[in-house]
Amino acid sequence: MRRGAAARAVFALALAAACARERPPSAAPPAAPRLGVLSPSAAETLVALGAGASIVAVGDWVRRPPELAATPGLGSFEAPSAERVLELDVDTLITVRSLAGRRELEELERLGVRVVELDTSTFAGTLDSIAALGALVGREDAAAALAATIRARLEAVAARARGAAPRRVLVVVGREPLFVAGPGSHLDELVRLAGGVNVLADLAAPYAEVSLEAVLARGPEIVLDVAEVGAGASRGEPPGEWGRWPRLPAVAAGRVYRVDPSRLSVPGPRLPEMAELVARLVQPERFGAPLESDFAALDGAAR
Amino acid sequence: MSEPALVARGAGFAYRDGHGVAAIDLEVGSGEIVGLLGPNGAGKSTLVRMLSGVLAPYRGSIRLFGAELAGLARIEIARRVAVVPQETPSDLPYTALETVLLGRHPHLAGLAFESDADLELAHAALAQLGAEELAERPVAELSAGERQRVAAARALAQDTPALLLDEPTSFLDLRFQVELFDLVRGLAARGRAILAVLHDLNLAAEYCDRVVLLAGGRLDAAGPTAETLTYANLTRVYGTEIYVDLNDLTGSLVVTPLSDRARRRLGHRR
Amino acid sequence: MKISRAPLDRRRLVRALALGVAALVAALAAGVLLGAAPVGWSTLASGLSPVERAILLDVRLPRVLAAAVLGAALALAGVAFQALLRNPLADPYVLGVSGGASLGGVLALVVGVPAAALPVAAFGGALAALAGLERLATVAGRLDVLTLLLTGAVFNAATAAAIVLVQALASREELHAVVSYLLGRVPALGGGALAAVAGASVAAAIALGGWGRALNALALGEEGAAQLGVEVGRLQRAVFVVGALLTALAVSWAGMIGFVGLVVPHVVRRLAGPDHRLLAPLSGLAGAAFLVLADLGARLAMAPRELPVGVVTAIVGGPFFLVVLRRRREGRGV
Repeated sequence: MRRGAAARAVFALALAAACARERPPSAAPPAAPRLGVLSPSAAETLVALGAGASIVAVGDWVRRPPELAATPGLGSFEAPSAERVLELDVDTLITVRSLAGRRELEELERLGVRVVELDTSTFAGTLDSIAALGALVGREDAAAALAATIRARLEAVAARARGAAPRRVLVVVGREPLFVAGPGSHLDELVRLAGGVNVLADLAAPYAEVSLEAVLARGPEIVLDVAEVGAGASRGEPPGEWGRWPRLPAVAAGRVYRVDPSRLSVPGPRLPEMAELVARLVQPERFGAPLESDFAALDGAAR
Repeated sequence: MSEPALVARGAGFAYRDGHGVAAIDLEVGSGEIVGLLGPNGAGKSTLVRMLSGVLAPYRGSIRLFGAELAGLARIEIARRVAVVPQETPSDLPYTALETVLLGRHPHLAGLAFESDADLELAHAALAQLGAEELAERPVAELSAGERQRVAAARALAQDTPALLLDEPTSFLDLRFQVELFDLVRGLAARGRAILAVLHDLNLAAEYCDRVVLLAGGRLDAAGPTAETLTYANLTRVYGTEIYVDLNDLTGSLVVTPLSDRARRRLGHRR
Repeated sequence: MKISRAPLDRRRLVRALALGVAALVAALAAGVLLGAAPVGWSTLASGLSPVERAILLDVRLPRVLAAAVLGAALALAGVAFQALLRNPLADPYVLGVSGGASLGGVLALVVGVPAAALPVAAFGGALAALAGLERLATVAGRLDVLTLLLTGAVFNAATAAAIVLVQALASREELHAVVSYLLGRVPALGGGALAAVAGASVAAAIALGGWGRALNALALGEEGAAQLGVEVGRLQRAVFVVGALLTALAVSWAGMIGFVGLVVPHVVRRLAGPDHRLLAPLSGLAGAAFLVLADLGARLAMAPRELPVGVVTAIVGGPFFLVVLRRRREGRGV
């Protein structure tokens, strides 16, 4: 297999050299695709669609589902290893839409690898991705069903939250320095769906560093803290730093929630679970009190 | 008889590359001007550095006004000896006056500021060098000759009983050369000890009481000017024929390196 | 061109320092009363809610004080290195101590040291660099300035390469943390750290100002200064240590905030003259005010977002530096 792959690589390079500007001709995906998956969301979706077997290689940040633990690695999405891609005979590379890694992706396209970029920063984008992946692996029906389920459950959450007095929520994704989620991020959308309003709704970016005093001045009633920090405070107790601001409404009410980032960072098939989790934190009167498991890491999240 | 102001006994120093001076004996008394002469690389600047305490001799001793130089703190040396260097950096951020005021450093205690007396001294020093109008000009804008006069004024402001001049006239107009050395002679007359490194043998002949000839890091000849600046000594030290004459009108010694043409006229062969 | 600048005396010194203190106080006031949150003058008059008081006293005040002491430290380090290297374009990062601090901090980050101990690790790295530099640059018992400069450049290059290596090997979370650690920003200094940096800055200002006349003489070159009675070797070593320690403190706690050490002494020199007796303490005051205002700018420019303060100092300092370079080349002098 290695020799075959090497020969194929050499051939591909020669082909690329010979016709530098030409794009690979295929519009239709190969029948039994060999997928390299750099997008964590796509990995979960593909497994949910029953197409996990098509995944032959994964990126550094793909850590779930646990079935993929033994899959060979490709590097991060910013710098996927072209050598590995060719060696593992990947014909389709699924990645996150971003500015990083443009050069490597273009090079891979020239070498005949199909590159599919997905944007899962919004619910709509996530649902579209599910459909696209379904088409890619020939599981359109399963994809449509999954998307429909997700849509329905999200709508259910929205319906249940309707009419509740919106709560002011702060979503923290990083501390020292203080990074928060704003409009354009899926976390912001989750908060709005669950009957909350982002205290930084005027932030001009999905993720940005903000000054502490701005946060304090806006008095969030609920703090959703998904920053990567070592294990520490349990739910309801203001973890170390937040405890310094007892006047903050969220701290005073015991509503600073440290949720393990693995639970909320990857929008995909688990979107409904994420929405329900956030809804329990934001509007417990309507959705029930938060569960113990809401704060813990997902199984197999650590690699 | 008391010890002369500056005394070097068997002083020697060697740089990494081997140049330097071997055991040199030298004396400069108060009230006299001693000329230090010799070709490039003879060790003249090295000797000046040793006498001002910048280089510590490997061998022999240097004494300033009866005290062993090695045992003196730098500031004490600076109160005894001032140096007019060959060159002053042109990128100084100071005005001429501020540069001259630097010369008062050895006399100012700890955190003291320059007093009015210091200022007056500085102005007077500039005036003596004919550089009064340069006082507020930035040194960076002065010509090489003007900078040299400022450097001389600084050494003057340092107000020391001994003065070392390292080729102080390289960039000076003839007029200023004469003015500077007339000034120096006046200082000597008032009791200062002066050592001047010179390339211009006529200046040396005119102003120096005694001369010391260095060649290849060694003392070649030393003594009163008229007796030491001879054809034999100079020709040997400088490696080319040098005539010494007396001008009857002015009474000055005239030193003339012989050109090709002059030698032919005199019937000399190479 | 004439410069009418009377030589420095006690009265001018005191007057200039008083002005400097006034400017610093004004900057501190601005830093506390302005910011991303709408708390300040107007609200002061009508009484403060507890949250507003917390913002002023617990968020802004410590930060403003930290900016002040760090700015002072950086400016004084700049004065020290410019005197030592006899070049007004030298800055505190040129000698490699900052590289040691950055590398120490980055390694500690990646190894997993708790956040509170990071500055200590960085400081350790800086001290190691300082010791190494001193050892390598001491030739025949003297600190050789040229060797120091060259060794420092090598240190900087080596630590920068090591940091890039760490970044290449880091995981995603580590990478984000490393990058943001390296960007200069004003931290909230704890009482101990604040006192340490403040104490060091004050001591340095007094020391450099006290050595002022000797530092002035240093401009004549090592020989020229020695002939004026300056103990050049001792002075150079002392100035190096002062500058390096200040840099180490500043970088360990705040990362690399650029241009303060370069721009502030320059401006002070143009306004108040090159005499180190005034230049040193006044640069400390001016540096403090400068960084306080730069930090204010970082907080206000894109509120509620916050820029790293190093960005603001670069935006101000970069063009300034270029202008100065051009003027020097055109021979208009500094």
